Amino acid sequence: MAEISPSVAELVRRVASQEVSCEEKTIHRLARIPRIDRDIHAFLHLATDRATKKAREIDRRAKKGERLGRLAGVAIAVKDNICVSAMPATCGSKILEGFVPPYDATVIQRIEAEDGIVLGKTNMDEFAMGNTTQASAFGPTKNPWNLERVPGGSSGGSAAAVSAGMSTLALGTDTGGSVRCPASFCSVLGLKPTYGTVSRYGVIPYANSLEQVGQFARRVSDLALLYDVVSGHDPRDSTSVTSPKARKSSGGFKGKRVGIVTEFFGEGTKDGVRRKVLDASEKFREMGAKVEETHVESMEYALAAYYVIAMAEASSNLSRYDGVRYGASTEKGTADWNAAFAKTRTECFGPEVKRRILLGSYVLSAGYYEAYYLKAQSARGLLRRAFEKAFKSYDILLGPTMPVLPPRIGEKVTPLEDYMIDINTVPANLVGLPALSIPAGFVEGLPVGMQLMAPHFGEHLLFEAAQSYEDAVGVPGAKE
Amino acid sequence: MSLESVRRLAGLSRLNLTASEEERLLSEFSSILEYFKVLDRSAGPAEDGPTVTPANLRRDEVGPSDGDGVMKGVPRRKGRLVRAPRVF
Amino acid sequence: MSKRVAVLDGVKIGLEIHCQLTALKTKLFCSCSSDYRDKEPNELVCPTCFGIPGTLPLLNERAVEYALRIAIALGCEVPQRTSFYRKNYFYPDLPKNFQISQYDKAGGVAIASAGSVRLEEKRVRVRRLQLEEDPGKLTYEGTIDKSPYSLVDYNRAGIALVEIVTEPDFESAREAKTFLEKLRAIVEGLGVSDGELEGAMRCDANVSVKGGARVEIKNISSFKEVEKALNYEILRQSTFSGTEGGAEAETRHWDERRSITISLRTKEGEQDYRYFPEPDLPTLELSPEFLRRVREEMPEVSEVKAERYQGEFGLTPQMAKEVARDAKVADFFEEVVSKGAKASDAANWITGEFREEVRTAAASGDGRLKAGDLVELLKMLESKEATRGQAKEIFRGMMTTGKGLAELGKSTRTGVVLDESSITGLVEQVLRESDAVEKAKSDPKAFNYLVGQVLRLEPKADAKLVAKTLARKIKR
Repeated sequence: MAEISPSVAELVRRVASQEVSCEEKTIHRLARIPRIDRDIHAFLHLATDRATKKAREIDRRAKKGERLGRLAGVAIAVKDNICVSAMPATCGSKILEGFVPPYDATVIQRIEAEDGIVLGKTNMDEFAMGNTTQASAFGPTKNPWNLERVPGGSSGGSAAAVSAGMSTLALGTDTGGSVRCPASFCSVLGLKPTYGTVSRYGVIPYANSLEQVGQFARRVSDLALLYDVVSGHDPRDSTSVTSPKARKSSGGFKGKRVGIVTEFFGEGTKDGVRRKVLDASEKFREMGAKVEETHVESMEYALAAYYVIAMAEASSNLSRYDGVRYGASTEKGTADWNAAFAKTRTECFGPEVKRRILLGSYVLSAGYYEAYYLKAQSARGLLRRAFEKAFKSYDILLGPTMPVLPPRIGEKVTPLEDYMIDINTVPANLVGLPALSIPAGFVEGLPVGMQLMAPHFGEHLLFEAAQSYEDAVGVPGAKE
Repeated sequence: MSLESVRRLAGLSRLNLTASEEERLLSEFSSILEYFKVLDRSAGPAEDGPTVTPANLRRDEVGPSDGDGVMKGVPRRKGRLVRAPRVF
Repeated sequence: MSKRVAVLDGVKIGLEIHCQLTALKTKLFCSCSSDYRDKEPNELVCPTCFGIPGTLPLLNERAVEYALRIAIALGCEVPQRTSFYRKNYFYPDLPKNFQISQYDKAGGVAIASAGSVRLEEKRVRVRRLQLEEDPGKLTYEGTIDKSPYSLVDYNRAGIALVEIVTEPDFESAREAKTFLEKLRAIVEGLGVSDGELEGAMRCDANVSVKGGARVEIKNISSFKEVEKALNYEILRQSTFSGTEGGAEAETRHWDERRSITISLRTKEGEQDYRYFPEPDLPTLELSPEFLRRVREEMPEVSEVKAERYQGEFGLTPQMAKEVARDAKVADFFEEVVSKGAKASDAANWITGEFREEVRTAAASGDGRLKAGDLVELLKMLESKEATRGQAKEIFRGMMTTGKGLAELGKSTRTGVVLDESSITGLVEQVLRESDAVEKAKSDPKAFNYLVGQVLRLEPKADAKLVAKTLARKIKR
């Protein structure tokens, strides 16, 4: 384990005061990444020129004594489904090979407006469909803590980049746990914000009604800062909301009510994971919080409802990839449009993407729409009411982020078995709640994550809880 | 679900499947759909999504287009037109 | 319906009209200019209307307003909430391979439903209205069937369309055409669409003959073609009647060049569209306040107004149409009526010999037309405080000088002479001096001339009494 790196605020101070040269630091970092990433494969694209140019500009402005942004000189890795102009955006898919978005996502604009440095684009499960990053068309990412294990997914590249110290911060997207799962498996912090608080403009969709851009960091203050920078109403996203002003942190965790949700410790939960998370929850009790076991109703519907809705939306979202307007096209001859579209799509989509497109089409088909899609939407309503009820009694709900330890790369499981490990993360997406995975320790040398959930717009509660926890156990180290 | 419905879905989705893929998917889908049956028990009104009022919609004011920008990434073009497969 | 046109029994036609909201400045979901005609191909496109991944639709507020204008003009019901749905199908002109549209099943609510349009003596029911985006435009190298590829111009992609779906209430092609012409006048009157522009109004139709299957006809590019296409299809289907099974349910394509419909085998049909709510657009709330604002700001189309005048004021269809024809004149009419004039009197006055002057004065908007004064004038006429001639003189004075009734009334001698003996004297004087007496016995023109002569001697004389006396005197 390497030395604990300084906080973002400290890094920004050093750059602003010209104690360090941002350009030198960035060049050094960019030179170091390939050596580390040879083993891990977190990055699909390194933005060497853009990052160095930005760093140089920051130094110049620091020299002039200009005010610098809150992320000045801080390296940020970006998941490859978030559009950055003049950088590829493959979504881990062959079908988007060659695609270069002609615009920046809102989150990127906000990061660059605060002088953050976009390091490059990170690996992911194809179109964010997966929890291992093995479903990338460009090869799997490996878990920095154990190169034979998966880093989790779908934002595996971003989590691994932060975990291995290649990047200070990272952005991912979380549709059913895709930030929290890799955060858990890589021993970093990963936040899925309240639906609508972070703009989705420029985020290539997997399932629009479920996903949010999430943030990775190793320190709670850094995570909160990155969230603060990227969140806020965006007129370019009709589902974006103006979040109520976060209440000032009350400091400390004394008197807070924490509910340990029995349903989060279902039958698939590994014993080691269960023990580790319960131990970690003890820390909250020691800090003076009221910690007790509780139940959340209707959780049995969550996983099925999630997959029905996600697949339905995905089947439609992914129709646009036909080889005509952008991306790959494998039909070079004069086949008719049906054959040409099918050829490109068949040759360029991976098996999991095809599976979800087909099943998504199925649940939307005439005659099945009511039985699956509408039922899933009503289950969503049941869950919302169940969480509303639970949050009347608790400030924070808690459980393991993932019921299992990071699986081995190449491990054979059926699709359904694979879906099952998302069981604890999907409820937050169905209900739009903020949820945070924090490192809870190690079992068999592998990271375990603890998930904290809060009511809508309760990010400050999550940061408060996580900060108290960090104060008690220390900042998790990087695996370098 | 039947093999025939797998084929129908593949057609609707513009995906070609080999016979063995059809078989494998059918068996995977059957077990997944079996699991989805848990939803049969969930009763209640469908979740109402967020709402918006006309006052919060986009104003009808012209902004910049970016024809050149989007055309740059088009795999096959003919002049300023996008070349697509024949439709007949 | 003209009875001269042969009408086959049992013909049922329903129409689906796609009307571009050409008055909008931008597209339905992005800020690209909607002025796409005669532009370079793919000039007016942006990441959103080109379907670039990661972009999001932003609904045009004015499009909602304009769609509601049509809904209100067609007497539709407008829901409190409406939502957008995705209609999923592949085609090279569709940038996302789904169309953002609306749906009235599976929990969906279109922006309007259940309206109607009066067509002579019948009412054509409008099933629903929905807002949706137009696809791009395909062209071919040579002909569609020989071209080795297709070429796409996405400038049109994302243009706002209102789809208007009628019930199958038309019984002939002519009727359908009359409806379309009326609909076009309505949307133009509402200031939302210019039907003159190429492709601004397109139409699909469904036709069945004598209980046979419903056949969809697509690609009718202009209203001119509608009657031809429908007549062809009615004829085609009627040749099936009596044969087993009748016409087959299918979609056919109107081939304008050859003037025939041809079978169009499409893979996707209604059951394959996999409609579901567009997750990027929240449900839209249409508050009563918003609807009120739309209603207040929208011009009332003369066709719709005329219908209202018949119902509300009991005007004859001819008179109602006459009054409603010009919006400013109609406004003046309504003001006069609201201030207490009898509607039929006001309508007669406004559309009578002063028609042109009233229109000019109303258009000038300079206050020359004084509704209150006309009300007074009409009352004076009724109570016989003034003769028709005097009233006309005053009204003309109002419109030419801009002076009010009070002022003009002073300079015009008013008051009616009703004394029979003085009128008899005047009549006798005219009879003595005129050489048209013989002619007046048989010619109403000559008779009226004599009445006029009497009135010249005494403008205040009651014209009716003069006519009566004159008739008695010449034993007409």
